[in-house]
Amino acid sequence: MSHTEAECLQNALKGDENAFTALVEMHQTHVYNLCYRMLGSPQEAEDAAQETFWRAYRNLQKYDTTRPFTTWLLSIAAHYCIDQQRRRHLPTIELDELLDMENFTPDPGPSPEKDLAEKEDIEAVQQQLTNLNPNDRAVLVLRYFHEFSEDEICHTLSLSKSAVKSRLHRARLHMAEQLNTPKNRIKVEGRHNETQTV
Amino acid sequence: MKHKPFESWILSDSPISKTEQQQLREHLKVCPQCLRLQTTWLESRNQLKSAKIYSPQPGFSQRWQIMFSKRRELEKTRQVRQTLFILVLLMIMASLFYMIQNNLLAAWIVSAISLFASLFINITKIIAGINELLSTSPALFYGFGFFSLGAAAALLATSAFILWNLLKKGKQEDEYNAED
Repeated sequence: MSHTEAECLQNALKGDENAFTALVEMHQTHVYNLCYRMLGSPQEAEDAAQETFWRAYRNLQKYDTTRPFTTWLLSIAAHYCIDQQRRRHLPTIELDELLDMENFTPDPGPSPEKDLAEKEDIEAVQQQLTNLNPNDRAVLVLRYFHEFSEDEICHTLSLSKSAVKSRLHRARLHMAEQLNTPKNRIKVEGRHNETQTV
Repeated sequence: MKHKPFESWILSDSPISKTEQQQLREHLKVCPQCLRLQTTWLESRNQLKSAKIYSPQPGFSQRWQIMFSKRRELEKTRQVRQTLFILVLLMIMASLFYMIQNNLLAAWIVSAISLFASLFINITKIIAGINELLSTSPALFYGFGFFSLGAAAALLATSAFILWNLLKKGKQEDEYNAED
């Protein structure tokens, strides 16, 4: 925990609203990214992130100061997103539709081809995540996007270690199988050949 | 062919022993299914690790502050409502208790019933009087009918508008209170 974060947290615990807003600024990307990866839409992610901070503010007195604040926040976000997923089953969208829908602006990269390939990768990842069961998705997102250890995932999602392990295994298998579909296989093999030619 | 341990080794993050590595290498030479799983998982893992970290649109904390003050306001209103409700409930209970203690409840019920009965009788008398008056002239009858219909329509429209407003307000509150 950084010094500023600790100070803000202390002040927020005393009821300082500005200190809590500072915490919101510090952790917005982490929380938003988790919500986006869980829900798959920028608007829903924004709402879920705002909701997460509101819940965190309301329950700040219950926060165990021995645990990292990020873990606690992401735990609230993950549980909220899982609940949201359970409430409304997201319609599955074809990858092509998703690419058309998203107004994704890539970083200025070296070549348009590379940009397109990166965009396809990112959206393919999101598409594969969308098809996962919400609990497995949460485990995978925390593991790979937030680099949580298995123990941290256990604490965050209130799961046993064996449950985390089996969910991770299932999620990885799903991701690999998704990539193994004929459509995606062509892309993977094509990129593999390109790298070999280079 | 058995794939179980090999599939777990391929998909595991934890390192495997040298013997297991050797067994896996040998298995991959003869099992195209596991080889494909290994290739696709490695590709998938790279995609996951290199995927973009999304940030919210600029002004997230400002939007948070707006949302925060709105919710605080709503919470205060709800607390005031709850306090008032509890106070009214307590007052009703206290008066009931007082009435029971002093044997006033039965007397109060009897007087309430007689009040309603006399009200009913009076209303009936008024209606009978209006009916008598209207039967003297058809113009008066139709005029009264027109006025009554207009008043009923206005009452209905006002009630519908109030109900719509209440529903709209309830919906807005639900959106903010969705946390529970």
